[in-house]
Order: sequence, then C-alpha cells, then structure tokens
Amino acid sequence: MKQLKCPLNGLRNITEFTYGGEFHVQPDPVECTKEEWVEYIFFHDNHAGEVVEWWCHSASSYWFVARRNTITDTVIETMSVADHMADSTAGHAPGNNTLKAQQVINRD
Amino acid sequence: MTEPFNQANRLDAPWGILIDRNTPLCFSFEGKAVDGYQGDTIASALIANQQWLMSRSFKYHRPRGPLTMAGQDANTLVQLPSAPNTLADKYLAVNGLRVMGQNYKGSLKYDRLAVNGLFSRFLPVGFYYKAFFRPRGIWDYWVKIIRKQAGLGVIDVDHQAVYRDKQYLFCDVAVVGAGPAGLSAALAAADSGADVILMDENTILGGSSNYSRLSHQQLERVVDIKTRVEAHPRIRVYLNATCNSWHAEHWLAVVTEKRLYKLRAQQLVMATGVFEQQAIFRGNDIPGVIMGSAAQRLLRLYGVKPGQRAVVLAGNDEAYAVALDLLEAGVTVAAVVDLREASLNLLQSEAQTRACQALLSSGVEILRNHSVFEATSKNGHLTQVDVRQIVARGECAPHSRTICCDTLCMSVGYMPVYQLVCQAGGQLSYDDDSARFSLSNIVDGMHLSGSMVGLWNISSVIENGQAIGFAAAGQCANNDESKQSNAQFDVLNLDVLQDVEARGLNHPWPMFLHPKGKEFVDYDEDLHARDILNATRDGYEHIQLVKRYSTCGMGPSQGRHSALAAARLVADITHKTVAETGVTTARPPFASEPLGVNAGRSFYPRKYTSMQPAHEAAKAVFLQAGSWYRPAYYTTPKLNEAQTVTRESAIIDEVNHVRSKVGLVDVSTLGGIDVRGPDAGELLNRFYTSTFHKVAVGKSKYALLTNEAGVVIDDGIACRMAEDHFYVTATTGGVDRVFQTMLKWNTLWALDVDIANVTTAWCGVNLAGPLARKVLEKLCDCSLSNSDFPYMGVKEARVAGIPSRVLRVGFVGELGFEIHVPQLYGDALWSALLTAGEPYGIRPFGIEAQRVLRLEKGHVIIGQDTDAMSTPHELQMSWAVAKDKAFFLGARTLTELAERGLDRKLVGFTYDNSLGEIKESHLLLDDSVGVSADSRNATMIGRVTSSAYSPSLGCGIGLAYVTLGKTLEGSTLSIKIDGGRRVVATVVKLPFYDPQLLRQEM
Amino acid sequence: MTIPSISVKSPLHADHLALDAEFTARGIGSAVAYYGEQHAEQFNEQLSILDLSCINRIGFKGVQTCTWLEQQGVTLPQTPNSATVLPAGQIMLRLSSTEHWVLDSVTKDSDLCGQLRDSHNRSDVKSYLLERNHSHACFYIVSEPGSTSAAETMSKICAVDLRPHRFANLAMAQTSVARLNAVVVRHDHLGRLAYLILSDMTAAQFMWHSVLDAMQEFDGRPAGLNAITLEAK
Repeated sequence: MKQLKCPLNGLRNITEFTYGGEFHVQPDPVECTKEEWVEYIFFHDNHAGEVVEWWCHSASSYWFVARRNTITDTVIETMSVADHMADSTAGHAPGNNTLKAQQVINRD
Repeated sequence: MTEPFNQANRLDAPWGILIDRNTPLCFSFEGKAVDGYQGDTIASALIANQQWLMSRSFKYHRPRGPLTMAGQDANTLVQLPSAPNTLADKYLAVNGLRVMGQNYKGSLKYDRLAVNGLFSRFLPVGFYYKAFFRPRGIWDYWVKIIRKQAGLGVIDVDHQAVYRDKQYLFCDVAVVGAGPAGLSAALAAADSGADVILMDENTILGGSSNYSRLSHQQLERVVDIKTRVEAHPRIRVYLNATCNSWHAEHWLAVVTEKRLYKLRAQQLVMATGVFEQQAIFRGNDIPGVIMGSAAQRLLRLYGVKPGQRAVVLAGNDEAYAVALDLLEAGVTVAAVVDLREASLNLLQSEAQTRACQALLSSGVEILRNHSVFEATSKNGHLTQVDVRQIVARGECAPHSRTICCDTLCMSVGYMPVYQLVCQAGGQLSYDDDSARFSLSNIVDGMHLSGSMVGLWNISSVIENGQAIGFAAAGQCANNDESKQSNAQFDVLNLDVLQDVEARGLNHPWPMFLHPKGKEFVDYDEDLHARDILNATRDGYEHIQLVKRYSTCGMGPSQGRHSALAAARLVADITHKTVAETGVTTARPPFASEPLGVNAGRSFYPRKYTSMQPAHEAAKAVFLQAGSWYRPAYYTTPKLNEAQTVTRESAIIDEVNHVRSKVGLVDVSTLGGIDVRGPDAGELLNRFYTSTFHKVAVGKSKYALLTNEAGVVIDDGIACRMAEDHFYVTATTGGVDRVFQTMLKWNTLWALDVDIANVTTAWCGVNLAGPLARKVLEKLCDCSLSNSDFPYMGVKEARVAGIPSRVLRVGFVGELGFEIHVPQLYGDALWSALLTAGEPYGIRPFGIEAQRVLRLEKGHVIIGQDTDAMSTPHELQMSWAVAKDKAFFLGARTLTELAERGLDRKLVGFTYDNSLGEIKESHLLLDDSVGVSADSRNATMIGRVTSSAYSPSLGCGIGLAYVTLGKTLEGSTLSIKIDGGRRVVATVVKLPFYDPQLLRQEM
Repeated sequence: MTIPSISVKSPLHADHLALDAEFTARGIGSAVAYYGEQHAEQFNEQLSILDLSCINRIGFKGVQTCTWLEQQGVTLPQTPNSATVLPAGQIMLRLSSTEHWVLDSVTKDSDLCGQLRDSHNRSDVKSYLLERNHSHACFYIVSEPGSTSAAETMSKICAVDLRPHRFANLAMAQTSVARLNAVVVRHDHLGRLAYLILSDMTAAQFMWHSVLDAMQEFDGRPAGLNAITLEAK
C-alpha cells in the first residue's frame, strides 16, 4: 500500500487520505470569458508528468498539496497550502486575484 | 496395498528432526488407520507406511504421490472433512483426522475415471476451447459433465468458520526466508541496530540446512547463527508464515493459519531460495519419482526412507549428496545416472570428490552421459527405469537398459523462488549458455541473497547474507548504529562466487521426449511435452499465450515446476533462446490461501444516536443509512393487542398521527457544522446559493449547495445563532463531504472563520404536528408563540433543563420544532418530550413516515431526487438562488446554463394507486402513439425519483424528471411499472399538501 | 452553554450493567467504579479497558486558541500531535496549531474543563468551544507493568506504528482505528503502557467491542475507575 506524507501528521497509509482533485487555477469567475470558465470546469489536462494535487488527511480534515509524477506515480513533495501559495508565482493561486473583489461585492 | 500400515519405512534417530517419537499419533487415510508421530505431515506418515498414492491427477486421473515434500506441488492434494485440496506434504497429521484422497470415482486405487488416460489423445491441448464452443449455449450442458470429472475436493457446507483476524506489523528490515542466507541477513541487520522481522513458511528455522547434506562444521555454523537469531532482542521470528504478496512501498501480506499480517518494512531482504526442477521423460509423474531434495526432506526432517532401492538421476553434483544420504539411510542405490559427460571435473570441493569415491567404493554404479528415458510402474508405483545413453541434446540411443527400483530421485536443476521479486517488478533472466538464472530490475529497498542469486556454498551464502543484511540495515532511515563503518562485510565478490558456484547446478537440457508422450511438464494440469509443442503449433507462440491456451502454470503450483520446462520447449520450437522466451508474469498470491484469511475480522462501524435505548424499547424496526442505524418505523404503540403492525400500516398510522396530533422523530443523524468568526456570513455567501449576511440573529434560512458546475450537492438550514456564528445543517450522508469541501475552499479564501463538524456533538429531534407547541411549552423556558418564535426562527433555550438549539422548521409540513441538544442528553430529551406529550397522544415516528410527510410537502431529498446533473432550476428551486450575488461556487455556471434553457424539470404527480404501484426509478414513456403494451419503440422522457402512497391525499404521489413540454400542470404522464404495464399519472403543482403553507406557520 | 444538572449515561451503560458494574458520579455523568463480577477494584492481570466517556473533556479551536489558553495559565504542548500532563493530572492535547483539547484528570478532583468553559463564556476571543464530551467517546487501554499487550492490541485495529519504542509517551496520532477516525494518545499510567482512544461517540459501542475483541488473546477485560484511583493512592 502506498503512503503519503501529511505535513501535519507525517507518513501514513494512503487509505487515510482523500484525493481532492488537481490544484487548478480558478479564472476570475465574474470577468473571465465563457470559454475560460468551461475550460476550467469541464476540461482537465490529464497531464503525464508532474502535477499538483489536493489531498486531505481524513482523520484531521487537514488539506494540503502534493506534487506528484503521474508517470512514475511517485510523490515528489507535500506541503501546506500556504507554503504552496507562497512558492507559486504571485497571482497564480486559484481565484486569489478575484477573491478580494468578491468579498467586496458580496459584503455590499 | 493390503499389508498393514506399520511404518516400515521409518528410520531411527537422528533421522527425522521434526518428529517426536515419544508422541505417536494415529489418523485414517481412505478409512484405513495410519500410525505416525507428532511432527509428521500427512504425507510423511503415509510414506512411512509405504503409502505413496495420495491423489489422482486433474485431467487423466493418473495416480500421483509427493514430488517435493515441501508443499509446492499439487500431487498431494487430499480431502479433509473440513477442507478440500489440502496439501498432504504441508499439513501436519493430527490424531483422529480423517483423510481421503480426492478426484476419483470408485476408489483412489482403482479410479474408474482413469480410463481417460487411455484415450488421452482425445483430450489434446485446447480441447475445451475447440470442442464446446458451438452451438451457442452448449457449454452449459457440458460443463456439468466436465466438472464431475475434473472436480477437485468437496466443500463442507456445514463447516463452522474459524476465527481469523488481521494485524499490522512494522519493522526496519523484513527478511523473507529463514535459511542460512535469511538467518545471516537478519542477524547482521539486527546487529547493525535495525528492528528485524524474519519469516518463513516452514515450522523451523534453517531452511535447506535442515535437510541438505552439510559437513559437521557447516552445520555448527548455521546452528550458531540460528541460536543467536532466536536470542536477539531486535529480531521477531514468524514461522508457518507465508509471505504471499508484495505491495507498493514494501507492504507485505503474510499469511498464517489464523492471522493475516500486513507488514510494512523499510527494507526487504529476499532469501527465498530455489525450487528444484524435475527432469522431463516418460513417466516422470509416477509415484516414487521425486526430487532429490524431497528424498532428503523425507530422511532428515521426518526420518522416513522414500523406498528400498533407488536410482538417482544426476544433472548436477548435488545428486551425489542425495545418493550418499540414501546410502547412509540404508537405501540401496542401484545407480547414479549422470546426464553429464564427466561430472568429476566439475566438483568443487574435496569433500565432494570424496563423496563420489565413496559411492563408487560402496558399489554404486555411476553411468555417465546417460539418462532415464522412461519410468514404468505397477500398481501405481515405480518399479523400473529404462536407462539409455545420450546421443545428442535431448536424444537417447535406441539401446536400453532396465534398472529395477522403487525410488527415482531427480537432481537436475533449480529455479530461484522469483515470484515475490517479480511481483515487485523484478525481471527473471536466463542465460542459455550457463543455464543460470538472474533477477534484475529489483525495486528500491529490496535485496536478494543466498541460493536465489546463485550462491550454493554454505559459507559464501552466509557471508552474502551478512553483507546484504548489513546493507539493508544501513539504508534504513534513523539507523545510526549501522552507519559505523563495518568493512568486514564488503569483501565478497558476488560475481566471481556466482560464476564458480552456480556453474553446473542447472543442467541445460534435462528433457528426453518419448514417441508415446507422457513426459509431464505440468503435473497440476496434466500437460505433457507434446501439449506445449502443440500449443505453439496452433499458433500460440508467445509464452503468455501458451499459458492461457494450454493452461500450463495455471494449476495450484502456479508454474513452480512447469515454467522452466515450458519455456525451454517453446524456445526450442520457436528457435528462440529461453532468455527471449521468458516466463509468465508472477502475481499474488504466492501460495494458495483460504478465503477466510482475507474474510477474517474486518471493521464495519455502526453508529447509533443516544436515543437508541428508547427506540429499542419502542420496538423500532431499523434501517441502515451509511454507518447509521435509524428507526424506519415503530411497531408500538398498537391500537390493541390483536393488531398486527406491518410496515405499510405503521407508516400510515405515523403519518396520520403527525398530521392530526403530534409526533416525534429522531433527526440526530442530520449533519451539523458550526461556522464561527467575523467572516461566517461571508463564507456561507460564497459557499451556498442564497444570501446570508442579511439573515438576522435568531433567524434561519434554507441553504442550497451547488458545486462549481452548478450541480446541487447538498442542502440544509443555516441558523444565525449570533452575529459571528452560523449553525448549518447538512444531509446525513453529505455532511462529511460538505465539511471537507468548506475547509478546502477556505484554505484558499482564508476568511477569518472557524469551521467545525459538530454532527455527533449534537443530537436532535423534530417535534411536529398541530399539538407540537402545546407539548414543548411544558418543557421550554422561553415563549413559543408565533409572534415570539415565528416560522424559521431559532433560539438557544433550555428544554427540560437541557441547553438546546431550537429551530422552527417545516420539513414535514406541520407546526414543528427541531430541538438539538448535546449528544449525551438525547436520551433525557426524548423521554421528557414523550412524557410531556402523553396527554396530547404523542408518538414517535420513523424515517419512512418522515419521507412520506416530506414528499407530501414536495421537498426534495438530495441524492434521491437529484442526480449528477441536477441544477436548482431543474428542481424548480430558482427561488433559493440569489440573483444579486456576484459570486458563489456555482454562480458562473448557473448563469451560463440559464442562457441555454432547461432540458427537464422535476415535477410532482398524482395517480390512482389502485391501478398499480409506481416505484422509484420507473420510466416515463412518450405516449404519443397511445398506451400500448409494446414499449420497445417508445421514447423515454423521464423517470420517477420518489413515489409513495399519501395518507393525507388518499392517492399515490411522486416526483419525476420530465422533459419540457410535459411539465405543465394537468399534463398526463405514461409510466411503465413493474411487469411492463403503464399507469397514467397527472402533473400537479407542488406541494401536494397544504399549498398555502398554513399548517407549518400556525 | 452552561452544564445542566442532568447526569448522563455512557452509550455503553447497558454493556456495563450486563457486567454487574457499580457506578460512581464523575464528570458529566457516571463512570464505572468497578465491575462486580471481578470483585477486585484493580486492573486485570494482563490488560484492561476503561470507559472514560463521562470524564470531562472540552476542545478549543481558532486562531487565538493558544494565546487564550496560555492566558488561562495552562501549559500547552509545543508541537502538534503531542500531549502534556498538567500538575493536577489533566491532559492537554494539541491537534494542530489552532486546536487543543483538555481532558480532565481521572484520579484527582479537578474541574479545569468547567473553569475554562466559564471563562470562555465571559470572553470574546477567536477561539471556539468544542463539546468533546459529546462528540467523542474516550477509552483507556492499560497493560500490566512490563507488558506491551496494549500496543499489540492497538496493532490489530490501527495501522500506525504505536509500539513503545516508536511512539513515545504523550505522543499522539490522528488516524483511523477500526476504520473510525480517532485520536490515539499514549499516556502511560504508573509504569504501565497505556493508550487513550478518542473516537465518535455515536460509534462508542462499536469501538468498545472492537477493542475487546482485539484484546481477547491477552485476556483483556473491562476495568473500572477504581483501578486507577486506588492505585494512584
């Protein structure tokens, strides 16, 4: 059985985790074009190679990020979402560019 | 055999290290008493009593006896009262055990089905594929007849399952195989600081050293290591433990009689040894023809002579050790038939040179460049061999010489026990020139040691084991001790040693085909050489195809003795090398395992609310919802003693009671999420479809959840308990996912809010019915009047002294209060409400009645009335989607979908239930051609998602998806019910009951 | 929420009664003092399991939890997935940097949970209360001195390596036990290897019987609170 290293709980059997899908960058849900939105919702790269994924340690409900090679099925590293966001180029976190705007809009 | 079983073949001590001569035992075989000793296997005790015949072969019903004495062949499958297909050479004899042969008709000795053997050319390879595929369906006829002939044992259907369980094990270094290599590896690894598990499928440590011919010093050396292993605090030894499979990251399934171990190792040492291989000649399956190692096992492990007069077929020098052992045990060795030209030149050690001379001086004839061409039997046992000179590879001279014997020992070659290594992606290669095997592509963290890598000399095996064990320990994380350099283990030059020692162990071509066949390649499946050759002639040239076509290697021994021979034959006929031909893929399990091993103790959690004792007392009938057990309906109270309560009558009674008086239902399984913090409202706004920041404290609002694709995935009620606190309910089955999803989004949004799943911290009831307020007023410390506590209000109050969250809701469509209290107070709350409600005729109702009540109100159940495509608009719930909100999860998709228009809608329908019963999942058909019994050409235009008899309306009601055009009130729907009949239903406006909503808001 | 005066029962009450249990008032309800059939108010020869579900427990979660708890004078574990024992015997569990649980002492009269609850009710802090007395049952598995049978029992129901030399005293794991989410804490008791299991209250019966089943080969049986309290004196 494969194992996964949770940044909070350490190395555990894969059965302790829930897969949360690829870590996609959400386009601005208000401003983006229809095509961009459809691409984001319905199309997935199914990339052969390195991907970034959401994983949740079920017992502690802790979400984190794993970089995984889908060809070799090896996990390259795992990290907290905050660390991943800090690593990523500014503005590339999903929806980050628009969240502030949403907050303002919704709070009106 | 008519003579009594008297253990005539039993030797005196020190032969037989596994048996205890002080503890005799007796069991029966085929109804006849068999004497043996504690420690005997069924097979060893039988051979001690000169009973070789143990089973009949699968296809031709040929007599078969032990081949390996190691539990690695299918020749010894016997029937026990509780278990068929038991390996007689593995299973320990037990006092009083009743053992029978299997796969015969009449008696084991005179099997009437053995006539098959005479007509074997009617059963050529691929026979079943060729004979029974036409006409269609004929297989069903033949299968019964074939099963009867080819059936293995009989299953005892009354057998009481034994308790088996599972355990997790952990270690730094796991060593599979406790022979000299495994023992040395385990000791070296443990001495280097590693935490070690050593496992072996046998009952004692030592592996081949327990039965092979070793010098006194060699044996001493192994015993010394064994003693140190047993005493080592860092080594755990598991015997009778078969490592049956390798899984990712060194996760091993280790099977023992009563327990399945799941072992996680950091490093793995495979010291699984070799399987001896048979020679291929006519009659090589006759009882009495055995592996050289099998003879040695019989002698040293069980103190049993295989026979009185033996011939040894030699393809390597180990055969001479076998011959010497036989001589020492008092067996006459009629001849050593050596396949090689000049074996003496190949002998490595002086000891072995002396061995050969000893044989000659004992008068044993050594025939060089000769082979056994045919073995023949009488009464199912070997009587003589036909020995001929070899003239070319695989060919014998016409001149024959007959040697009488009752035992033939074959020592012609070995194959590594490669199965686990190959399960882990390893590759088995074969060098055609040296007839040597090697394993490559070894997974990280796996190490191979001992005879499986071609080492044979005991001291190089031990030294290699030590080096491997040390290396494995050094590669473990957090092992500091082993980092101290320990150069003594690095001196071995493996390649050189392998070259020297492995040379001559495998004879390259111990195969002599006979014009009349019966040279068995696969004993399990009764395949002889010609079958393999014919398979390739039929066009199946790839070894994988040969396997599937001929079934070679598919029997219980999984190719242990057929893989090499089959590969050689296929290679020969296809003009390839054995290396190019290869062997078939190894898959788990390594050895057959009872299903009970996997079916043993497993865990299926059951959840009960804290009101469970009350439900049981009221004789509820429970139904399972996920892990939850919930009251479906109650069989009490009864109207009178004579009343029989059925599911249907209970549901109607409970529904009517809620509509007319007051009922109480346990809603504890409902999900609950506390969202607390300054951004609580903002989080709900982004998550759910409606707007929440304007909800006043003390009020609640329906919360509908869609995913980003606009599909409805959950619903609940969001209660504003405080400015910074929402208590949100979720569906029973959906809450865990809703909670996880909420957390996931907030890791991105980083709102100042805390999210806690409080589902099991709280339990709750719904008190519903026109008299609900009167009941609750007796227990509640706050005003419940409609003005103080209107519909959709929420309050923190005390009910019966218990701190509660009280919600005014209308799920069942009557005046209703949901009272949520901390879990352990549930029991107290339930009984307080029942007591307070007694004057008003309160009674509990189950979730079946609740489902009917909600359906009468037209409320959807997520998951039942929704599917993976359902949008709020299809559910006619556009009212729950905020139009003034820039963002929520499904907003953009729903906006886009709105432009496209709907394809279908969920509508309510009523029908006359006396015409037939419409059930969930029944289909709606296009009735444009009129109602007809022939629905094959009709178009499906929708399906029913909920359906029930409505006691309040007195007719059938339901919800169904309907394509647009048939959704208008008054439209008729043609629904195909069970049996193909159609029932017509009418679309009506929702809700079915109390459309003015007067009752829930009173 | 203030605690009402109603005494609650463990979900295992009926199981305890069937074993002839004598109860004692504890925490928010009653706990088993001892089981009548054993006559003795002590641990079993090999291995014992105690139902501590009614002993007070409380949780706090939120960004200001650490600060607030420290202001209350409580010493906190410094790393997630570890525990500390306070001088009066209460156990503090750190589940993450923002979540702590408090387990009141079994041996001593202590009401730290009550005090923290009162203090929390009066404060306005970004730390939110969790009713752990109700959401989670609590079991205590205690070996005989020198025995590791508690660890062996755990290895039949939990896939995390909890052996004493790999899982230090007061180490904690959030994991799956008998396929239920659970928090496992090693909390040795006077030289006895022991583990606390905190898991879903509504599956308390399932967990109890799963552990009892796993304990059977070590002759493990239920024991009452007196085993702890008397031995502590």
